[in-house]
Amino acid sequence: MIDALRELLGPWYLYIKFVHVTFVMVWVFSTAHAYAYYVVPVFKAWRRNPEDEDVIELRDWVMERFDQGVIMEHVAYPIILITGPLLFIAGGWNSSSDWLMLKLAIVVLITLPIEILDYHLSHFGGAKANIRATGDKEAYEAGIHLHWYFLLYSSPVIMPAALLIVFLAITKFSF
Amino acid sequence: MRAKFSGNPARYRLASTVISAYSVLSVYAAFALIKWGLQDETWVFGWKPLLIVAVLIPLYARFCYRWMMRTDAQYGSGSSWQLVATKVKLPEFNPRKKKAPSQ
Ligand code: HEM
Repeated sequence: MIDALRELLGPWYLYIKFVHVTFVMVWVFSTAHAYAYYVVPVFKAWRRNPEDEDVIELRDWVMERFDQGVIMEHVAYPIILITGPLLFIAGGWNSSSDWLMLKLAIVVLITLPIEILDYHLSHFGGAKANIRATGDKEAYEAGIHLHWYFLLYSSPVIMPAALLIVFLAITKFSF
Repeated sequence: MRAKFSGNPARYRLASTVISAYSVLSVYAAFALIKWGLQDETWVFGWKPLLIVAVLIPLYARFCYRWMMRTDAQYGSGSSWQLVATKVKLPEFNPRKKKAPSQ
């Protein structure tokens, strides 16, 4: 079965790799600018001026736009998770590659739980536009707080992790 | 009355410690088990990898703590951003809304 798949995918290896790497770029960088220059400064302003209604209005608007903006990142991620294993099979890779095993451990244990939470917060139950539509102001404020906790706790993890994954994949590091 | 955000330095310190311990230990354990279980390699349990793990946990926890404190405006004066009061209409994006049919 695996051998048949390898035969089938083999000639397409570089094309699959093109898709993999292109969507890695989207996953890693698509939110960088919005995060650094819109979300963080506005949330900092709110944290310094927690009662300022104008700042709060802007905070909510930026947060909801960011929920929309991460769609690009969240379309890219499953494509990476599909094309990665295809490359693994097509290229005949195995557990002897240190870089790949370390990369896989980071992908599965670090990026996957963070992305699952992020899907929930941005598009499903935690999406601020959805909560706003219910008219429950307390739940809306709680949803914003939860997302800010998520960004505070996940950003020092996901950014170095993504960089490390890309470093491992490109250098094919071996111990 | 709007609820106050409950984030504070003590919380961030605890979160950083938990996050660092989980990240380093889980990735190390998974990597070591793969190398040992599938490749019969035992160097992953030697003193060097274990020393790296032991040093990395507190260092990375400190890195995470400082990152959180900076991001949450607990450090620094924030003087590079000014609060300029202005009243504008904020556009709302509705991706599901269909275009109105043309006449
Ligand atoms: C967050 C997830 C991932 C990121 C950021 C990522 C990143 C990358 C990058 C940047 C490359 C290009 C390396 C190069 O051209 O030299 C690559 C290649 C590769 N990735 Fe991923 N990847 C991810 C997930 C996965 C997964 C889940 C697998 C599954 C096994 C995988 C398997 C591979 C393989 C086999 C290659 C081919 C290496 C080569 O031929 O050079 N990746 N990845």
